Amino acid sequence: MSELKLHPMKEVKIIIEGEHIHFVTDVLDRIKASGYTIFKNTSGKGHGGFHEGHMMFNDTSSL
Amino acid sequence: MSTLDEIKTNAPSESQRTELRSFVNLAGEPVSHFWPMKTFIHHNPLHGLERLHFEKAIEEAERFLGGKGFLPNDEYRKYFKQGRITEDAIIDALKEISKDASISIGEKNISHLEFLKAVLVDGVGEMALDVAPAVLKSSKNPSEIKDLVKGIQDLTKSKKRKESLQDYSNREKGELGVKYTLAQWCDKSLGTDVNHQLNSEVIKWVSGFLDEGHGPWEMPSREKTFYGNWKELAQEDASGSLLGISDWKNKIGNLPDRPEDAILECMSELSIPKELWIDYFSLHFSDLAGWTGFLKWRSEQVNYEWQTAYPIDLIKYIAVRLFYEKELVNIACRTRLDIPGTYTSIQAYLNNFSVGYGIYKDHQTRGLPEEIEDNTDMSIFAQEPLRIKELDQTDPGLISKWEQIRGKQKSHVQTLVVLHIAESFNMRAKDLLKSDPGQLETLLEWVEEFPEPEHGPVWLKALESSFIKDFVKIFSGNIEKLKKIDASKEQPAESRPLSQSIFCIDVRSEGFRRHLEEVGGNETFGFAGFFGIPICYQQFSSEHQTDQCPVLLKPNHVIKEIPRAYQANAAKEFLDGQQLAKTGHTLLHDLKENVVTPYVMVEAIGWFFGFRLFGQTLQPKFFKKALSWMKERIDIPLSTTLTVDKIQREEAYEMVASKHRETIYRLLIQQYGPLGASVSHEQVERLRKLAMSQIEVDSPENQELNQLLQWTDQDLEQFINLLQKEFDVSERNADRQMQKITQTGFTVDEQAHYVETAIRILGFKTFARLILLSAHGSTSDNNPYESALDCGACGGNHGISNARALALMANKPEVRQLLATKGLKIPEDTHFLPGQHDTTTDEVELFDLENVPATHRKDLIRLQRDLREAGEKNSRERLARMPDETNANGVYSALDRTKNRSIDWSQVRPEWGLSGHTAFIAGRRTLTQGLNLEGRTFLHSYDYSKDPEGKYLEIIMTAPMIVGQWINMEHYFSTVDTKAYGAGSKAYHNVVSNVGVMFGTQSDLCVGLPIQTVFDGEKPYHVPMRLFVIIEAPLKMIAEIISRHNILQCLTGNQWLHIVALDPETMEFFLFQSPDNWQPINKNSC
Repeated sequence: MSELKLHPMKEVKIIIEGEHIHFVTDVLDRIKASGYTIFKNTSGKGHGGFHEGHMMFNDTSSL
Repeated sequence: MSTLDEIKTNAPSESQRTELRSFVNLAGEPVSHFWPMKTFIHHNPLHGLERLHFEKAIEEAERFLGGKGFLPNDEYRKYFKQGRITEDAIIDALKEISKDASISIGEKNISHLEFLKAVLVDGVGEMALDVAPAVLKSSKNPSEIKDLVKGIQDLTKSKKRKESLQDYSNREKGELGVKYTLAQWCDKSLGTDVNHQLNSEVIKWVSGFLDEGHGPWEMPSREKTFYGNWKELAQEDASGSLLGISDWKNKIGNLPDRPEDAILECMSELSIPKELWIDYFSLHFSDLAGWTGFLKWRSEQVNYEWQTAYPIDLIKYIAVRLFYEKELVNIACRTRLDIPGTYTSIQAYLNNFSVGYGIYKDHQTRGLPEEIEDNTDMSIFAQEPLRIKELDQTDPGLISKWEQIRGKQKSHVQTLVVLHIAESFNMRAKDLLKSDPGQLETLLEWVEEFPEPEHGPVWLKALESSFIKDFVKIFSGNIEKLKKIDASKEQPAESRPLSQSIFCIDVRSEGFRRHLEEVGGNETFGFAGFFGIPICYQQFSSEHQTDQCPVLLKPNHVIKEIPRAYQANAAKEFLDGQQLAKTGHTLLHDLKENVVTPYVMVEAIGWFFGFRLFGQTLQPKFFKKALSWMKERIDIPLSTTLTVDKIQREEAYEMVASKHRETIYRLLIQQYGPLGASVSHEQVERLRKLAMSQIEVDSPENQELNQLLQWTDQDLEQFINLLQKEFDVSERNADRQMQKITQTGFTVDEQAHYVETAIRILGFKTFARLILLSAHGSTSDNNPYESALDCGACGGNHGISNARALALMANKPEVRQLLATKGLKIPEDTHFLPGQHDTTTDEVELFDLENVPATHRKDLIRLQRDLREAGEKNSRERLARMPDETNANGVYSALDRTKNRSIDWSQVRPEWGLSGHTAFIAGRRTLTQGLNLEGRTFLHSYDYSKDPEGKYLEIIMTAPMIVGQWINMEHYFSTVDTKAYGAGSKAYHNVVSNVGVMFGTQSDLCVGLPIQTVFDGEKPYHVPMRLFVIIEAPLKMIAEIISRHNILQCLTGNQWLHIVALDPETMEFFLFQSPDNWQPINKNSC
């Protein structure tokens, strides 16, 4: 464990509707983000109440 | 905002560019995606505005796209006269906007509601200013009319609302850059042709760039992206100089290399304030909404081959547009007004010369009153630049005279309006004269508050509520049946139907299903036509893959069609035949499109086309028979199957490895000739493993290889390097390829999951021996819109591949075993059979008959007979709805007639398609069984009692229902505005760039549906209403699903569709208003 070197990193989370995914990945590519992970079908609760992100046959409107 | 000099000297920062990209992205919202024609996707042309209320979105779209959102009021009045719109519905719709007020005219007391109704039904009789006095003069009681005009004139005076010449410039100052671009303003106000020139140039470049193999000569340098390509080629284009743009070549040559920078430069030169940028870009995008919609779609397709090779996006597009605009507007403004063509200079001009500009506009739009014309130097309007500055110095006396005349004309018009309204209440001019002037004033105020262009929303509401109240009544008999079924505590034992068929929810399945059930013993279901399996399908011998699922989804599984194992020889012959046909086709295309050959070709082989021309025009039936006879002799019959199963990882690995071994072997032969060919299989494998970094380069075991090829260690290393870098024989590449290969097919678990979802969602109670999975597609000739008639749930394709895939899955013993463990037992003697319903000809073609067990032969023959009979009956019913089928009665083969329509190349309407649809019904079949719904309803099978958690209803409401809403909105808008949202008449269409159609030689890409699809002659065949989604399920369950999904809240809250629930407890229909507010539709409907 003594060889383990930690690097400070910043985590950015962007939550959007599936329909706008292209716009965000395009911006990330343009600013030369070296990598990112896309979690599809997320659900959760916020100011607007509970939101179901998963839709079996609809990628564009899921979160 | 940065000044121009700053931008020119310092390149814009990355953040400025990113900000601009966001603006452009937002500005693209009002323009809807447009899919290429070959997979026509029904969509909402206002999809980008769905976050707004339906009516607000229509207003917004009117601003940008110039489209109307409602039918003309006269069409609604016709519906009212026909009884389609009831008086009660009108009153209900008006109640929302009526005030608790009334006026006394003559001896009558008229409430605001009564007034609104009269204005809605009879109109206000408004007419042009100069016509009004003439109409009034012809009145029977001139003296009464004169008094009335005088009375009204006094009213308007007191209101101090007289028209002024400055109104023109004041209005335009606010609208410039918000309602129209500078180019559009020039054309509108200065009578120039800037926008047309701009569009012509842009269409020329865009259509050439977006060409997908249609044009015989390909545009060069397309790999440099749209902007780069234009920048390079336009310098040599003479049209820029011909348009009068000076120093053309240098101007383009000096443009920045990045389109973002070019946009920032143009916006700065046009001096558009930054707060208007989004609106301004939107105006530009919506000017050619078809082309923009297509390139918007294309730019978002990550793996679209044409886009990868030749990139284009909104940024690149608008950079080119703005350059033309900047130059052409400058020319126009300098010539016509002697000012620079910028936003600020135009604003300043409107501000400084508001009176002169007012006189000029009044002359331009409606002609100056005679008395003013006589005292004005009319040559001012004919000179360049316009002498508006001189007009601004016009004598104030003349200006007040103008105001007086226009005021008088307005009171004439108002008098006519008042008389028109009075007539609706059986009153005359004398009654009006008796009224208190204050009351007349209120009346005129009410007229202004409810102008004719705002009647549309009220009419639509009235039309919809009349429809739904009437529509739900037809279910009363079936609801009684449902009540009885639900009341009997013990469910009756289900008898096994002779066959079961699953059709697409498409409205065209409704008639066919009904007839198939009537033929006897057949049970039918409705399910989204992609059968719940989103696949990417590759037909045998085709190089392309199609996405076989709604565009809401991106398929993750690839399925390929392959010849059956015993078909090796036939497959080869088939491929040879295909190759020959392809070569012939390419040759013919090349000969046709070449500059010289057509002159010779007509004489040489022109007669050959004569057969087709005359055959297909004069004797289509005979021609079709002859053609199929020929085809049978030429076509090689080939029996195929689909690769439904997933390739195992080991197998995939071996496939990649063998491909790599082949590459290595080829390279060895290429580099070392016979010596390379003598390398043993083991050594090739060693080289592969070395390239894959599975063994060390310096291993002593490599000696044999080195000796054989006379290599040093360095040579070996170089060779491995070459393999990795140039030939992609590497670990990373192997991983990538394996991922691609293992995308093919589904695991048994996945297959079981899809089969289970399909069966459970449909609410199967029992299983017949034969279950038909009926996809659908259409056949028509000479019809670029053919794909619009295909299956929307399959991405505008024929759906047979999905039916075949699901049948293969459902027939698999492993899948059945797995399902049995989940409590879903499919009897062993149940066989799933794929088929395809041709919606134009009503024939059902059955596929994979080799898989039907011999024991099911009788069932199969019976089903085939029933399908044919149902097809005949359905065709007969459909023919009766065709306006050009004169004799729909008597003895004839309806199947023959519908077939004729499908092959007649002059037929603009092979079938009505989805036109005329009204509702989407999700419920048990008993609710709709036996009812003739005239092919106007989407039917989705759903049994709420088998879905206590609402899981399946959630799927229906978030996917098939959304597709239904898209289809509905496409038809709605194509009907209410056939030009802005529809595609106009098919007769003038030309296919362009292989992506769409346009009018004549140059126009915007036509979006939406052609007139022939939604109109029957002059009258709309499709009655434009928002979709009614009728769901048989508990209100609470539906409300909960809506609250969980943003998209559903948006669509229901903003009234893009109506949700109607059939409450299982009361068996009454309720209209969804909000999760806690359901409004009963007809209290006594059952």
